[in-house]
Amino acid sequence: MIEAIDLSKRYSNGNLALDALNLKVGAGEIYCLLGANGAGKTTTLNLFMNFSRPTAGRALIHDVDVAREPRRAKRYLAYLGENVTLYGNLTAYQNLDFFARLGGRRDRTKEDYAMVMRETGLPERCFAERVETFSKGMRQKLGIAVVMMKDAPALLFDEPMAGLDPQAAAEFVETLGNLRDHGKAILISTQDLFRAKQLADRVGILKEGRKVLTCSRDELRHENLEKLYLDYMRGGLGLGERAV
Amino acid sequence: MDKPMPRRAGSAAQAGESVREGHGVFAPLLLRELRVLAEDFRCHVSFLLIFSLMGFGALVYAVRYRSENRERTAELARYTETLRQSTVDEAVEILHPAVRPPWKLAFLADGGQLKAPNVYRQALSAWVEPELTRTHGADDRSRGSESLDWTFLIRVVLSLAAFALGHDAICGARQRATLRMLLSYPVARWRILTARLAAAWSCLAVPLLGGTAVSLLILIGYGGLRFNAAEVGKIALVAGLALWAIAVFLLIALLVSALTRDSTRSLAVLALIWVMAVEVIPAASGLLACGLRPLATDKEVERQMAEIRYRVEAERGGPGSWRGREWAKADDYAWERSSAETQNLRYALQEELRRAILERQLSQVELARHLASLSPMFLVQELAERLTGSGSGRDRSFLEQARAFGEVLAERVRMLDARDGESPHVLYFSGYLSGRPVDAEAFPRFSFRERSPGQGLRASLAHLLVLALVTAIVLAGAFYHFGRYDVGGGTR
Repeated sequence: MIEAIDLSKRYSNGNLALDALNLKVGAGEIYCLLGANGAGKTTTLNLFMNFSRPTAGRALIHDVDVAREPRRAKRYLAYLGENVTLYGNLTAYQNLDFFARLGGRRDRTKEDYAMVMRETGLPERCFAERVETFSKGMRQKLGIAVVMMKDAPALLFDEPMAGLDPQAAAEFVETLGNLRDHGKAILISTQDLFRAKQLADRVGILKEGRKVLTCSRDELRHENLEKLYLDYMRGGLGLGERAV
Repeated sequence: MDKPMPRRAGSAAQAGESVREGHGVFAPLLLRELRVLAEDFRCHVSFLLIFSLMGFGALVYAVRYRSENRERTAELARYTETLRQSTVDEAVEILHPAVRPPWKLAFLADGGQLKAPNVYRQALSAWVEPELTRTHGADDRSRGSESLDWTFLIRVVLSLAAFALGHDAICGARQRATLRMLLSYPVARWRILTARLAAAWSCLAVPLLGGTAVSLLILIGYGGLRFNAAEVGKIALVAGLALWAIAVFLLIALLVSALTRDSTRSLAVLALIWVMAVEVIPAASGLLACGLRPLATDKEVERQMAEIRYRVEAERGGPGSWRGREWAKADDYAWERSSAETQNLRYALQEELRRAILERQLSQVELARHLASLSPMFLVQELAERLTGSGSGRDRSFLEQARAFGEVLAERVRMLDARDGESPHVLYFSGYLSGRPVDAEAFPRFSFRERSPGQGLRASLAHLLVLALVTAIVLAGAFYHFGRYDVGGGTR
């Protein structure tokens, strides 16, 4: 569903932001990309979204090369950033309607929107309120509703739990689990080790553009992720990718 | 805990296949952009500014039109009264006014008509020099003498408003991360840019069209102006040009926005462009035109005039003392005729010099305007003036028509004098022409012919092509750069 093959990105100033990344996220799987600031997590998502063009390698969504057929690839993916950028002067309903139409779904009713918003746990009283009055947690829930409304098979989340209070984060994790259960392939860029361990079927650690570690859910059970992460962050380059 | 997915969602893969890119997405994009702009402070300020300036400008022109009309009527009444009391002999020394009517479309494109001379007074006698003056108008040093016409609105207000609205349309959206969300959908970038352009354009076009309606109501209701079909056509042409100009200014802003990474930089670049286009280029053009086509000083003109006089009189004899009619009649005014020929020749040569000086002035102005047309704002102003028939074209046309009127007057006086057998027929010297009274009502009056919309269009063709080229370049630039705009990390 989501696949990177030797994916690299070098910026015009010569900075190598991503170095030959290989990863594959299947249907019904959550993959968490961990890494410090500037490790290449957002760059990876940018390449999957065709926000940037890769210097080398391929980013595939649903077997469609993003760089070659970006609009076709985007039919199969939904994205939610750290700062959910919905439109403050529109209500929750209007935001959903706008993004649903943008995704080519013009047959959705207000009831459909209400149902999706209920699923994300957004209070009913907020449905007709302007988004500018929403808290970050509420915006995040509405963002999830937008993603769910698109109903794409591949989902990309960039630091989705940053700034959320514990309850909102827990609800978000629950929603993601629900999406996984519906067969979505989910790639999350995060720095939240606790949630990553809780959520992920697999975890990849990026350091200075290189993936230095991949481990599965089973492997994570027996490992101290925090210790592993810190070891890799402290270690120099040249470690080579290691699977636990 | 397992929750159901939304109704009609279908399988994920099916859902992906069912999404058809581009179909019906433009309307929601446009509506959303309009909704955002409708609540934008910049849009409110632009609306207010455009609407109020157009209304106020129309009011100012309505007052000026009425005042100019009154003064023109008074000038013509004075002239008729003078003619009524004159004989043919006296009429040759009267300064016959060719009064240019007030410029009805000054609210569209004043083109300097408010300050340019509007009366050409000419006598037929070689002893009386012509005058080119204004019947009215404010002192140039008064701020109230500035034009508040549509060209000012386009050049200054619409360009500023377009830059303010468009400067962050791309880089600002990148900073706010709204572009990321938008571009995560299978929507072509050109559709997003077109929606943004159309929404911003509507934000400026609506007050412009509303202001047009209000302006016309004020001009017709208060100013008493009545527009004929040609004038209505010119108003429509300039309104169309203003709408076109809004699109060009917005495209410039979008292009800059697509070339920069943050809205502060974009605004700074646009501010620089605006100052260059509105202030620096026209000022530099004026300086350059003065350098390339310098004008003679008053002293120099005086010297050249005196030179003509000395040359002619040296070749053909000085004016001498003209004799009384009874004495001169003895040799059939031989000396007077010869002297009259000399003076008429001197007058004709001096008139040629005056024409050359005026022509030089006009050509200097035209050169400055050509150079200033490097600025898109002034290119649009020049176009508006050409389309309406204002500016230096109207000045030139007025002078030509006024001089032609002088020839009509000379012919009429010659005919009237020829009918009188008692007249010595020494054209055009008072004391040696018919003493019969002039029929003031039948005497020719100056009538000014404005440029037709067809002539305006022909005169604007080159400038229209340049504007079309500019539009194509900024359009292609904006769409090309937005198509390649890096929404991601940039060059870090």
